Amino acid sequence: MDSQKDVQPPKQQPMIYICGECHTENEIKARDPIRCRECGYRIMYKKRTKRCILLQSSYLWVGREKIKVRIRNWVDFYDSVQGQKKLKNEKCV
Amino acid sequence: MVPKTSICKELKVYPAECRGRRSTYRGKLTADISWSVNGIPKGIIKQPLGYVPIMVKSKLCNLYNLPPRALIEHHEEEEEMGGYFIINGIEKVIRLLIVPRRNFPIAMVRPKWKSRGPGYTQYGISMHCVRDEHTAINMNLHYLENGTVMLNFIFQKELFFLPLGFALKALVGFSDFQIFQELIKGREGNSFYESCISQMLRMVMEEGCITQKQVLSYLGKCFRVKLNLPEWYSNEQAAEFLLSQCICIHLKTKVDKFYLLCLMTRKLFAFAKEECMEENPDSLMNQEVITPGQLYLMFLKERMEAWLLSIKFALNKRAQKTNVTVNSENLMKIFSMGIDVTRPFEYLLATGNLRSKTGLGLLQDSGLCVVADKLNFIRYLSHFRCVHRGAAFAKMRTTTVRKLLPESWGFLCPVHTPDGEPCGLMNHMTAVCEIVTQSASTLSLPPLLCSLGVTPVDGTPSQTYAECYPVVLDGSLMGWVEKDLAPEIADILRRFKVLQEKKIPAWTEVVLVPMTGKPSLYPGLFIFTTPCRMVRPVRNVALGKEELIGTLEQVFMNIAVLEDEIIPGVTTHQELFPHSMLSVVANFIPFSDHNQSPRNMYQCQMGKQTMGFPLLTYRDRSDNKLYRLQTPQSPLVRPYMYDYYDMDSYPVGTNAVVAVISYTGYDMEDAMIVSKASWERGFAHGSVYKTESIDLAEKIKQGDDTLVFGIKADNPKVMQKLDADGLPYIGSVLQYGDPYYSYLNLNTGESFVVYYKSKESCIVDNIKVCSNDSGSGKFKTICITVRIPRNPTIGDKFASRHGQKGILSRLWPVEDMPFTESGMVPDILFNPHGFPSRMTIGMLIESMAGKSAALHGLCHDATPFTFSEKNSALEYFGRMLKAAGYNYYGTERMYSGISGVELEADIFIGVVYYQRLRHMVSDKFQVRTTGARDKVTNQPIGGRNVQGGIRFGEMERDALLAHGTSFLLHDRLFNCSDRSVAHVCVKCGSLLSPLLEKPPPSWSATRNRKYCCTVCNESDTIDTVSVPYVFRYFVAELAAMNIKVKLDVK
Repeated sequence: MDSQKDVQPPKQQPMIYICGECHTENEIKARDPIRCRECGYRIMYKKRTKRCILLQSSYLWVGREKIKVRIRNWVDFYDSVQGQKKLKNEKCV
Repeated sequence: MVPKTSICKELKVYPAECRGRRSTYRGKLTADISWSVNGIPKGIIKQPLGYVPIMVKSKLCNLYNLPPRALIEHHEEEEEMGGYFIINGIEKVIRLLIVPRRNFPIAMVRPKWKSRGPGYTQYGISMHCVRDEHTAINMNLHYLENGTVMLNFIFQKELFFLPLGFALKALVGFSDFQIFQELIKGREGNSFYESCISQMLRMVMEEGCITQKQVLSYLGKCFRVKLNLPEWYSNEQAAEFLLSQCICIHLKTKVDKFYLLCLMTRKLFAFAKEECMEENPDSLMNQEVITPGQLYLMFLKERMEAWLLSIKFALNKRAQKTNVTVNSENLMKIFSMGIDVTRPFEYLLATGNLRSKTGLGLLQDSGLCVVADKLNFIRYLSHFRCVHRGAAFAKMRTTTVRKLLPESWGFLCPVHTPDGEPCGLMNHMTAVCEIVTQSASTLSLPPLLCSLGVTPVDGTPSQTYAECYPVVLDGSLMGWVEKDLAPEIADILRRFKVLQEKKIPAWTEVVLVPMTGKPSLYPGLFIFTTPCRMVRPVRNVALGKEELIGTLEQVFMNIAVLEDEIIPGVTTHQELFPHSMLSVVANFIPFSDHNQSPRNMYQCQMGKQTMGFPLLTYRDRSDNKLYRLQTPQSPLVRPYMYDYYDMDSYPVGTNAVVAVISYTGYDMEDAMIVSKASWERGFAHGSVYKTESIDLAEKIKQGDDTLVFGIKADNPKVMQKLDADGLPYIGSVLQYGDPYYSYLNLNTGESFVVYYKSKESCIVDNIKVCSNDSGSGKFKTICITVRIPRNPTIGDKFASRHGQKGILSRLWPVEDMPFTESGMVPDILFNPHGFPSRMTIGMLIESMAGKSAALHGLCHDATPFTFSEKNSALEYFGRMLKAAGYNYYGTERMYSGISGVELEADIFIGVVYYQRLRHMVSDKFQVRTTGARDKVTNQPIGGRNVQGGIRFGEMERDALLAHGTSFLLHDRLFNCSDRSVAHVCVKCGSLLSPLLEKPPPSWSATRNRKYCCTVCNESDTIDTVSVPYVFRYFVAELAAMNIKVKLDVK
């Protein structure tokens, strides 16, 4: 039931940042130089999170069951909900 | 500006980037150095000297001349004004400082001068000489009791005195008789004066100096010790250097200097014999300002001189060690060893401290720069209009320098000066006042003057010199003009100036100081074309055109304010507007002519503390703290200047329905009540943007740069709150103790988590990841901007635009608020007691005007001086209200919200523009129950940011004593402070001697040990007393000084 173990972010996971000048999305790793690959601008903005802030709680209700999930973003959320449903369906079967 | 061979599209760096990245907006300074050996030119070397800060929107700035659209593309405001520097992301303004008017002899009485030597009197003529390239030096002429004159100047912060005779004879090769004749002009036949002059000349003769050459070599011999000149300079050359660098440096030829010195001497004698009056050095007519460019230039010159000296030093050192052949390669190597100009410049602008050898002829060496605070647009604007008298005057005991003099009419705002310590020293220029920045060639002026009838210096006028005015152009004697002809010439010059004829610049100042026959200002026709003077436009009545007039000029002019004040034949000029005597900030006060004047002063201060909408580029900024009013409005009642400056782009307040009523008691003593419904709808909601810059490079200990932002996957609590890059999610709420950011050491694999340490919760607004100048910077520097929402709370400060500030005392439920017949509920309840003593009638008028504006759907003009006794504002707005079906006087019947009973009194209700001030309780409240204590004294520490307490001081103690509340006193000062239980030996009375006895090894650690007096060697004499902990410390300190404290314990 616990989906906590599967989310282990790698150390050097590239993140997406937005250039302050041309608004291109740049993938930057922790040790990369900060420079837009399109225009060479030197300020990057962190992208606004995709994670739903309202869903910060680690408990979710799927159907009538209270389950504990870790949600990092909407994809995770979707996955976990789908996963729960599948499990439930399998159980029912 | 900082083009680098890096990979980027746009090589130029724009100011917005420097603000966002917290770097300095600067450019590379490259010098072309031409060098020669023994007079043979060897070519030019290009040498970078470092980086110098660039003023935004100056000619060298990348924003220069950009249209508004392009400015917005470069993340600037639409109407960016520039005029400041960006140092480490902070906008810095160089202050305008008042200095004596350049190249103008000022007669002064200084009792201090008597102590300069035997025979010195208090009389002197002072002159602030400034060259075209703004090198400045002060020069004084002193009058001595025996009738001789001493010339005094400062060279490299040292005072020098020189008898005038030497200076005069060194300057020209005239015979003594010629010099005598020049000095005696206008005072022929005065035997005392003649004897004084001949005595001065005799003094020179007695030193054996008869010819100019002899005087020069004599001077050179005396002064060369101090001049640091190369050895091969002859004495004459040294003297020439002295004359060119120290005496009347604004003049090029020595003959001009001679004539000017003669003019000054004549003025000095006239002054000492009290035939003319002293000039007031505190009056604006004898002053000008130092502009940022001037300071910048002077500093740059000095730094470059220092660089040259360092090169000389390096060259000498090199030459001593080895034989160097002087060629370009070697020279280039040495050049690169010169001292950098980058750091001193940034230091100057960042701190405002001047580190200089010469002091640049300024009276102060600190406080030269201020931060251009963008709290709101009004405050920002006033930084650029501020003129400071100088820090040296702040310490003065006398108040004469702070006086508002009539001479400053139209140039300095009488209203806009802070009250308190800097009152009268920090002034603001009026809205129309400008400072001359251009300079024009004056070569065509002398011939023009001659053609108008001025007799040149070497000619003889048709009348005696006593009947003539000297003509002085920019501190150089041009000649003489007869008494009757002078006004005519002044008029013609003025006409040329207004009509821009004969190449006379529009900013020329033509001053005819008339002869009055009584002791008054020293007469003469003075013409100034130099920059840095204050000028302001007025209408020339005769020519019907605008004319720029200066501060000295204005004193001798007749300027009418209104049309009906013009007296034909007398009045020559008229003010453009009656309100042109006010500064920008004072001009924003509606109906300020109806207010008591101190209230306008208060409003000028408060307008600058208002939360508003200071800028449109919040996203690009990294200021430490920015305020923002979420729902600002354009005022319904606004003066003309509000629209002129287009303040609607940067509004500072909200229109509120204000009822003047004493309702619940919660509005006593300047408190005000806000309707809770208005509050819930976001009335005066604001937020604070705080930016913190985090540089991992600063956290590195021993030189390994393996720190990166990141997160270790072992702490689920941190994992939940921070993103994979170790930074918080944008838009997430941070509370006290939440993880703020985290970074890793890649070598050791350690992770460091920094927690959010403010008690106030905030929202992460944006995070900027910053590179360095060249674009090669790693993921090391970030700027986290957080937004703290600040809804109005009880204790927040509000103010109308009339110096009527108040504290929000209660958010009152709407259902309990009074309401009008139409069912309207006011936003704010204002206590009527705020009016009688303060007499802010302007606020009453604004209330009525605002009400009628809201009813009729228009904006009212609130320019001061439009209404008068005859044409009263009350009548105008009363009629408007009546036309809308309301009471003529702006009052309405109201009903109590609590009981529903109709209130007996008519309530004055209207719409007033309210400002929210930046002083908020959330920044100020301070509470403590327990917390940190001082290490040494064990007493609670002070300070809000460390959760400290508030001092319960002597006077508070007195109050408790007076009340006889000794138990409370004891509790506050002892139990709640540093109470401690100490062991004391009753026998010897010592606090220090009782020590814990030494346990034998056989004892267990848990066994109770006794205290034992080391002096008496007894343990049953020990007793415990409770004493303040500091007392024990005090006893120990005294013991260190060999003083024994004996407690008489009973």
